[in-house]
Amino acid sequence: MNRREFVRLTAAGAGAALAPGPLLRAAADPARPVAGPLIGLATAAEPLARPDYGRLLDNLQSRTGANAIFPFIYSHIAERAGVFPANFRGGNYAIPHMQYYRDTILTYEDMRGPEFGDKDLLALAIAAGKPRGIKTFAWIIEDNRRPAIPHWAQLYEVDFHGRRTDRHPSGPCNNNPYYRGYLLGLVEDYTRSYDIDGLMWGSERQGGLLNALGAYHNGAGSDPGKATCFCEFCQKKGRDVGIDVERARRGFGELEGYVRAGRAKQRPRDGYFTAFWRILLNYPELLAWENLWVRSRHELQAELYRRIKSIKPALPVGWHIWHNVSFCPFHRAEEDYAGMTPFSDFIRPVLYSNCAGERMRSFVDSVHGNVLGDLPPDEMLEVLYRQLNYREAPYDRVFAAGFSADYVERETRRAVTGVAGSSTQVWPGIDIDVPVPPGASHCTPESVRATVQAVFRGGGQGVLLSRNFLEMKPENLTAAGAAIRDLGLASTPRPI
Amino acid sequence: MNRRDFIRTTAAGAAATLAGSKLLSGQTAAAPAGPRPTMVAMPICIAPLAGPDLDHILGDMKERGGVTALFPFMYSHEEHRAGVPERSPGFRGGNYATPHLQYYKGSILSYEDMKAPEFGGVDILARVIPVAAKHGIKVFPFVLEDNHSPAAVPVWKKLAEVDFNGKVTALPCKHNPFYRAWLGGLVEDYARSYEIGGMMWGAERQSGILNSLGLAMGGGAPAATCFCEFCQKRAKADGIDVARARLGCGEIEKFMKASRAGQHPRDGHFTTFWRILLNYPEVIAWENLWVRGRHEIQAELYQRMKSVNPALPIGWHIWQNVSFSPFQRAEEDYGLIKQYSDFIRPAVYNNVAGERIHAFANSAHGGVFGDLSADEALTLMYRLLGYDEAPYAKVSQTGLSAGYVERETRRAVEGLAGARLVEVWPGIDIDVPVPPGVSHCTPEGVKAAVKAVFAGGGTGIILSRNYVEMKPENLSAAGDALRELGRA
Repeated sequence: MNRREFVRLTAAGAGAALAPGPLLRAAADPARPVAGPLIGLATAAEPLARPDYGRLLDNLQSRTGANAIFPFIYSHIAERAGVFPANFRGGNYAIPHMQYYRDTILTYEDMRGPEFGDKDLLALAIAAGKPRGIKTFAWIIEDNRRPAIPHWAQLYEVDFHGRRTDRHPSGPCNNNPYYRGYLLGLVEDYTRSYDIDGLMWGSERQGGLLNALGAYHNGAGSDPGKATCFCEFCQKKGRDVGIDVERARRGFGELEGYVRAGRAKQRPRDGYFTAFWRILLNYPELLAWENLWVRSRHELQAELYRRIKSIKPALPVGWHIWHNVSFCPFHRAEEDYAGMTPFSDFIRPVLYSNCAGERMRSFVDSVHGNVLGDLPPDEMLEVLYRQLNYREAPYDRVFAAGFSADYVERETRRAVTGVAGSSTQVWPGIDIDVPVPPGASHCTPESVRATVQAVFRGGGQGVLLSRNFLEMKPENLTAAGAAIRDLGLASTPRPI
Repeated sequence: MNRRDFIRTTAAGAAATLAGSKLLSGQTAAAPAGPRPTMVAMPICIAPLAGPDLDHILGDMKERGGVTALFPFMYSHEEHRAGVPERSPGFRGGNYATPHLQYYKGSILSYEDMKAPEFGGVDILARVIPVAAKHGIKVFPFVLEDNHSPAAVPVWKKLAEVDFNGKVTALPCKHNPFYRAWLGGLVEDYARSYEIGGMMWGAERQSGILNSLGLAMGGGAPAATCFCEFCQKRAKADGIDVARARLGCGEIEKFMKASRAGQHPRDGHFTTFWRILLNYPEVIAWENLWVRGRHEIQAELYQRMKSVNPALPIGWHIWQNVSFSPFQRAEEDYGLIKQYSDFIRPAVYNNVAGERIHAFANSAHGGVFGDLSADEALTLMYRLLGYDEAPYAKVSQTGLSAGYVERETRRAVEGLAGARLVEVWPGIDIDVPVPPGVSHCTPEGVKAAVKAVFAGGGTGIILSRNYVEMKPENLSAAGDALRELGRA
């Protein structure tokens, strides 16, 4: 679909360029999300393989009131599997049914996760959850490193120098037909082959322009020469919508020089911001390329939605929203909640308040050498707080303080307001012991309680206790459950 | 010339998109023989030049200020540049020299459209040059684009920009061939018909996109320009989707109306602004189109002048808005301008800058920087611009310091540095009018500003903005500073 066709399918207005069209919306109507508040728990795959997984569910249900489990069911990252053998490989912890993967080059062996033998963890999870009234959502998040499996390389983005990428902030290309074939096959496989209760997909990424700036937490060491994507499929799509590919490439080259000079403490003669704006002015193709990337991501989400709805219209489909929208006003622009509603039954904005402190500080440090480099870091953080509408600790304390529950409430409300007028629900992911570096703040039962309450004060229709059951301290998980019970939202365990 | 042709003629790199051609950069003014006196220039409106005191006036500015060049507003339809009271009955304005029509062939303006009837139709330029020469003063016609369309000359409307709604505006379009023909003809006319010392042109304008965002000291304009037939044609040739650019401008208009009505966008002002750019990259492409048109016209004027007399200097007035707006500063890239400039005159009026940057902060606070309070927006601008000046609550009363003059001069000198000397003659503030309640120039302040110019590396100075506005003691202070520096 070229841009003009895409735009024709959309409503007029600011969101039109990135929003999906009526064809997508039509598919959304039959099914709408879960009745009652969703109390979800994200977990690595490993607990699903335990012989006593049923008893674990009982415990979790009584402790937290959870009514849904979100296992990382496909990942090549050991932390998401929850096991750490020397020869870790990862992959699909359900069974790939190859009739759904005809449009990809990945084989059964490329996909299947071998860590738990013959066990089909998704089937086991569903079997244990159903009698207890606990839903199982297949949770697929793009990995931050390319699997050491040769076929995967062909699915990955290509930077503007023509090099294949292999890790975050790049990833598989949303316009690569083999990646699309794989992902669409995966959701169809889960939908047809398993009695799942829903599916969530996530990709903690943004466009190449923002990546070149290192505009994300932990982006200070990013390589501005690896901005993407200039694979053959993106180039063709770019040309089809009238973008001058070579000028886009040259624009990224200018951006690379600008970022490298900034990191070398060479302040541009006319200031960092002016120099940045001048690059955009001289190369509007950079923004066109960013638009291409973002549009392609949204198109992929819309396709996933449509594929699932074509099979089971009632099955809820939703999206994990990368934490970076909490820090980066530029990336926030790319994740337009209102524009996502036509292909979303729910969204799960990541609102990890405790680790947000060190992440926000990291974001400031990452972009300090470029777009906002005219400001000292403490002032830059205050400007960002204003732009993002936060009232949080200053630069010298935020690392140790974390963010408050007020941040959770504000961001929940922003999401709820953003999807208003649609049936899309907002289930924020809250921070229960997401790992932090030494010296950073830690979750406490009080802070966890406060954030759960903040979600519902902000209008959330559910909550995902995050990010991984294996990371959570029991007392903090219990605190979340206490808050949920106080709010009268806990699910009632069913006798087995 | 379409964009690709234009780019092919330029050097590689970021600058290429907006740069003048190699042809232009290779064609330089003849090198001056031996040391030259420091340029000390004086802009002046027309009325004093038409009166009986001309000789006395020139003597006064020479004696007090050490003036070596006169920059009369030689073509204007504005009363204050003519030196007559505002709303003077029957005022028309125009060219205070004599249009020689053989130079205006591609334009649609007639002799009557151009020739100013005021002051008895006397050729002021011809009158002034010999008198000034007696005082050792050269004459540089200063052509500054007017801020409104001359009502008495309806044909000017055909030269004007068109906003994205299709409405004809007041100011001329840089892609309009009739405007380009008129302006090129004017430069050639002055260069061929008069013994001028050089020429300066200026347009206190920026792209229509920045205007529509209110990123201007005067608040900008609500509807972005230019969508005239020539701009549309040029855009199409460059592969820009005109309809989508128009839609993007519509989104900006909605954003600004809502912001100015006090509505806070759900995702914040800055994010919403950026989202419009992301959704409509054509908006930035349109800004590029506008800026390119401006740079091209300057390159053409340079080429025209050099084709007549390679030794005759031509340069540019730089609107003071670049001192306030980091966005417009991006549009005025000295690294590009140097390819077709013998000199530039950045307006660094430090006294009036206080209330102007205050106004800019207020305007920016009503849009892109609406997430911040107005005083925070000003503090942010100071950082982005590299200034250390008075806070929002005080800056109108204090003005900006001489430090601002030095910084902006140095930025220009560094920006223009290269194999060929492009001179920097900053325009300093001597009693530029201010609204009631704000700071005024003093002899001490003027002296400090003059010294700041040379401390910043300026090679000359333009005492600004108009001789008739200046208090004698402040002009004398400028001269004193120049004498102390050995520059008079």
